[in-house]
Amino acid sequence: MRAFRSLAWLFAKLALRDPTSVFFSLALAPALVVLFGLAFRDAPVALQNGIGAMDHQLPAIAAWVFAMTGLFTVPITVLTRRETGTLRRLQATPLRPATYLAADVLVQLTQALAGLGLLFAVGVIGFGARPTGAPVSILAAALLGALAFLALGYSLAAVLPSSRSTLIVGNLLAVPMLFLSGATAPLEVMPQGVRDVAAFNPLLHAVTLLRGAWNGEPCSSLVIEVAAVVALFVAAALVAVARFRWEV
Amino acid sequence: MRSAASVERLSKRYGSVRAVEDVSFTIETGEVFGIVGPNGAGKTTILECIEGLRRPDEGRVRVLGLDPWCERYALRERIGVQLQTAALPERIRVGEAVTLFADLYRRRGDPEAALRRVGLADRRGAAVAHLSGGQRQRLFIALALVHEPEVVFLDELTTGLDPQGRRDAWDLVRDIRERGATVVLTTHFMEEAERLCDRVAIFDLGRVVALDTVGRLIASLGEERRVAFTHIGALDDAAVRALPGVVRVERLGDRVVVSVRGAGTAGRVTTALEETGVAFDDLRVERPTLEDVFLARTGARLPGADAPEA
Ligand SMILES: Nc1ncnc2c1ncn2[C@@H]1O[C@H](COP(=O)(O)OP(=O)(O)OP(=O)(O)O)[C@@H](O)[C@H]1O
Ligand SMILES: [Mg+2]
Repeated sequence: MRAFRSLAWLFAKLALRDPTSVFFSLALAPALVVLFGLAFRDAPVALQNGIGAMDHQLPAIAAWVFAMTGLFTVPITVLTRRETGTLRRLQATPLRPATYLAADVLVQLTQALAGLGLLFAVGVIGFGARPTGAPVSILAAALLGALAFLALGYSLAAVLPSSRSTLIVGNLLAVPMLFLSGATAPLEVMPQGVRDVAAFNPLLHAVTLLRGAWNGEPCSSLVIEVAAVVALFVAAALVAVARFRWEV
Repeated sequence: MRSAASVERLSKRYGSVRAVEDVSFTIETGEVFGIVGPNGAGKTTILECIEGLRRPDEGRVRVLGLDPWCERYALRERIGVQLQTAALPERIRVGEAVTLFADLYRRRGDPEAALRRVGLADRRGAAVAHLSGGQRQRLFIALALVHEPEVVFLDELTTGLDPQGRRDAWDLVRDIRERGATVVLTTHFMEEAERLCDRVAIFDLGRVVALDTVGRLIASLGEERRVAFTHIGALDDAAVRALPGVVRVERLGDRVVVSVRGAGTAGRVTTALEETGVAFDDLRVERPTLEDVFLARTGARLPGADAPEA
């Protein structure tokens, strides 16, 4: 337990010292909200189903930030530590892989949720977003989405050979994920074939889940989304723990 | 006295490279055990097999009565490791690193004391990335010592240290030994092995080619002495070679090295040289060192010549 606390505390301090990590986790998402808010300032208040443009887009931006954390930040952090020999040095101590992972996950998760808080604050205070869902369900949906994509990040770190390859694989995954998430272009206007493929996109389900929670949709209408995000979490976490490696 | 570690018939391959082959030895509790050998001899590999960081292909290893692979967590509580190459997380500071490592062990040592032992107490707040190479090395030694381990493994402890830093590191090793811990170290400096180690294993091409106390290893070369001098006038090598007790005559430019054997031979050769009327300068009689044993046992292959692949 002392090892876990010490490691988590250290990782938190190191994350705050790293300008890239601070930018991607805390600054980027609120900046996107500002850009979106300014661009749609004059758009009609209600878009679809009587939901405002900001209330429609805010949860999508949040899910997108989780996906970026999982596809880039996490694997690059872990693989850099593996490539430099940092993990190897830790391996020569009694530290268990699970303890290391738990401490790192806790810090990444806190960071992701802090970024989310900022993003929602900017949306609500600056651009009149109004969540109608219960705070508890919004938090639960956010936690689930963040955990699933973090787990995806650790599973990528476990299977990919180098930090260079994570850039390639991350981009290869990020582009279709984003395109087929409904966050950029509405899926309703796409052909049936594309929509069938999109059904396997975890980001689409995370977006729908967060959006539903934010806008007060009943849980019963989000069962598929919850199942999909939980499935991603379980599968990725299993791979991450089973294939964890200290050395290159 | 129970031995601190034992290795029996250990082999380790990387693909087709036979890094360690059929190696056996025992490390006694409380001794400083040295492993020397040319680059690629397998020193790091055998050390990592003993530390439980690598799984041997064949053979049996016991450290403090434990199997380093199957009982690795129990073992790692009790050993301290300085790896040949290692790193720490980016942006970490010196004090944070020792504190973290202290916290990783059940027996939490004193991080401050560990920093003082390696002379880094006043660099506590410095970023590890900003340390000099030698300071970094000392930090990694502190990380290996912070939990007061029973066996300490130091892989190339003094590589990158300046002469003073090297001497400090030697004092540190003596200090670890005095506190009752066992030390296993690898080095490329024969002088270091000679000064520090109770016993030395010479590795070559993945095998132990010699293992004994430093004194006995040197004695194994026979009663050889070397008479070295710079000659000024003409010198007839054949005449020197014909002197009684002379084994070999080697030349390096003006410098002549005469290897002699037998009690009192060195003195007689010197006198005989004076009688031949050859003018010489800078005469020295040298005892063989561990370096000579090393060169004799490892066949003194050309530097840079790679170990043949299996
Ligand atoms: N991870 C690895 N993968 C493949 N081959 C390796 C690996 N580590 C070492 N080797 C090979 O095994 C042999 C022994 O290497 P090792 O690092 O044990 O030598 P060493 O005696 O420590 O050398 P040095 O003095 O240069 O540190 C070398 O031929 C090396 O190329
Ligand atoms: Mg080595």
